[in-house]
Amino acid sequence: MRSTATEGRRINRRALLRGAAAIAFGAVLGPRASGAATRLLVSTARLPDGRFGLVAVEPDGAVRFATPLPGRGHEPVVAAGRGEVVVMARRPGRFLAVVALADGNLRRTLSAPAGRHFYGHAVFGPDHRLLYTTENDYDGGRGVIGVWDAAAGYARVGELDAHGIGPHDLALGADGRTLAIANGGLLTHPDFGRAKLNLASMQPCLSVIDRRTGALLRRLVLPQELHQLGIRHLCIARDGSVGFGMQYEGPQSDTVPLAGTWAVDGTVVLLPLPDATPAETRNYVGDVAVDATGRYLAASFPRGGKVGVWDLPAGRCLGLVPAFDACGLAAESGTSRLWISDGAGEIGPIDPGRSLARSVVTPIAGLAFDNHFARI
Amino acid sequence: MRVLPTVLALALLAAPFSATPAAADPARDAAIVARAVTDYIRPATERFARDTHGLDDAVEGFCAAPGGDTRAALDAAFRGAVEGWSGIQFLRFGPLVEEHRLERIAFWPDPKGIGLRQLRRALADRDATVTDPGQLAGKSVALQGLTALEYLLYGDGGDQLDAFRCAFATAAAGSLAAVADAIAGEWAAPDGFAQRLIRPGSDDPVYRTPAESLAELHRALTTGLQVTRDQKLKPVLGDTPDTAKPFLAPFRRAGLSVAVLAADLSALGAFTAAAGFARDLPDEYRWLDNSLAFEFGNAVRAVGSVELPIDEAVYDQTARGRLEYLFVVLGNLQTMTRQDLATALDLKGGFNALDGD
Repeated sequence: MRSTATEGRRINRRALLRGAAAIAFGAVLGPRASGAATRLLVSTARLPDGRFGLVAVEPDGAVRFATPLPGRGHEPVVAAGRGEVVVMARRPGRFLAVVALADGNLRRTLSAPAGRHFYGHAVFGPDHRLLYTTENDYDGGRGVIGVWDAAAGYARVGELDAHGIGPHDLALGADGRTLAIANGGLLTHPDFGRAKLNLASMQPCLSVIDRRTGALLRRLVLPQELHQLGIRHLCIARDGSVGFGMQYEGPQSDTVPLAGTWAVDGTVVLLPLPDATPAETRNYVGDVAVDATGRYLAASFPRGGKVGVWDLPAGRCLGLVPAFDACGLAAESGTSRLWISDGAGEIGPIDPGRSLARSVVTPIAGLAFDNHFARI
Repeated sequence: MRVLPTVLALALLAAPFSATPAAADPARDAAIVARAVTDYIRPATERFARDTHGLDDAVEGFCAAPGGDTRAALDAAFRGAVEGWSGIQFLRFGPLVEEHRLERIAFWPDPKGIGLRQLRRALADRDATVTDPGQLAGKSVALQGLTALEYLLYGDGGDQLDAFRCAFATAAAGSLAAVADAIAGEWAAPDGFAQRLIRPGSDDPVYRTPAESLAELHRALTTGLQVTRDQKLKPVLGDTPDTAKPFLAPFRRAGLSVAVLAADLSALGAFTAAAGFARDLPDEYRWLDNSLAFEFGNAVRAVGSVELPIDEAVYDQTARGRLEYLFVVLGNLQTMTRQDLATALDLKGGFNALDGD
């Protein structure tokens, strides 16, 4: 990896335009290299030259690497124990890229199996060995979870039923045994790109399955009058409850709930948005996160340029953080801070326990953070 | 030391995305919105309502007196309604998306043939509820509207409508005309949706400023171009004749797939011209007005010169070449509207906001 780091210091415009190679930023040789897997923000992005890639940024804005990808990525999933990050293609893409955390080298690129495309999200099992990916069995018109063995070169080792149409985001349950899956409910087919084929009859749900047997353990379907609220993103709080964010496919002047929680005992809370208008949310949540204490939930509204923050025990919306084109959210471990990334290339935290003011850094001019990032 | 050299290298690459946006101009934005509604959307929704009533009459005329003349009138009326639909199908906001109207008018695309299965079952079962307009409106969207009528009139058994098919088609045509009336009525109402768009205000749930109303219309234009290019043309054409899938084309049974492409492009071009999106731009963007008109002209001419039905056109060297050219022109139009026009109009659509997931 040393040679790449050396190359990285000599990177120039031609090299960036030419190569698919990672652009290392020389971090590997410095003293911080020993802590390669700590305090790093890893995000899909549009690079300043217009290509899509993966960037790794330290919290002070120092860029560790920017690696071009075969296409537009969606969620980066970190396996710190393996020293790598898996990047899923954005739907209806078919690539799965494995990138080294230390220097951004592209370790391998895989493809979705025949008859499947990725939806853009994935999660590792507790030991970072098995990787679970949301996928579309498009001729069967059903959602599936692909299972890959990272220890065996990411061999495809199985497939589970998602128990819903259009599985998008998924997360590992607090017990390490279950997977929570946000089934957005939208039927799509690669022949027609991203076109939504069943808006009138869509039926989103959350499903919880046993990740070893695929057995359906729990399922949440919202009341029929909310059937056009696609449940697209989720996160797991410390107490095991599922926080979720939704996207409304009905008329845009309707006021609908956009985020909620689903406790282990089955209690469902649809979070109130008393002072927000549809113009501020555009009825569209791009990402959700619960802070490490489990008290605060954030949902981003990239189309409205806001991030909503709730105090969960109080069941109260704390307010909307103005954040133009912000989508990605991630919790900082050990604190109540929640990090926000945006399309203007800014990234930084709020601390809901103190104030909703957001501090940001801008790592590289012309960079646009894409929908999701991971914080380690 | 660690970061600086590479950051500088990357900064050089920022140029393509750093074009200075034009200044905000609420008066110009409001004028575009008013022209779009008055000079395009209202007349187009009224035309579609008239077309669907014409189709309703033609179905009844043919069913009352089947014959060559009444069938020719029915074919012409169906084509008129399909072309009229092209005139408004890209306006996917407000009245068109209330009560699932978009899907009730045309259940397309349907790559898994869900609609076809439902239609065949209703015909095989002689399901009487589909012959009653009131009950039909509450049934699956796939059994209503133009896509259902297309199968009834041009699918197996569509040349000679039996009594059940006639009753089904009459109910579908009547229900379609009612939906078209509702859309035209809501756009025409002096205190309705159009007024919210034309006179945005801070108390409106969606349109607070002229720029937000304009963004809605701009999005309709770019989405419309995308639907025509990426849904109606790209999968049909395939990368090569070997991968062409003409059976995916809209209204193929009625032989109207090429006519749909032509009508879509005429409509998008007419909408752009009537609204005058690029009419009052700062000097550095003034080229857009002519360039948009020029490319829409190229697109309409290209598709107008395709004389074969889509099933043959994708395999015919000349016709395929014209459709491939059309695909390129549509790509240019997408770039021009999504990037140049958006920048010129100071529409601050963000990277995540515009195209999220």
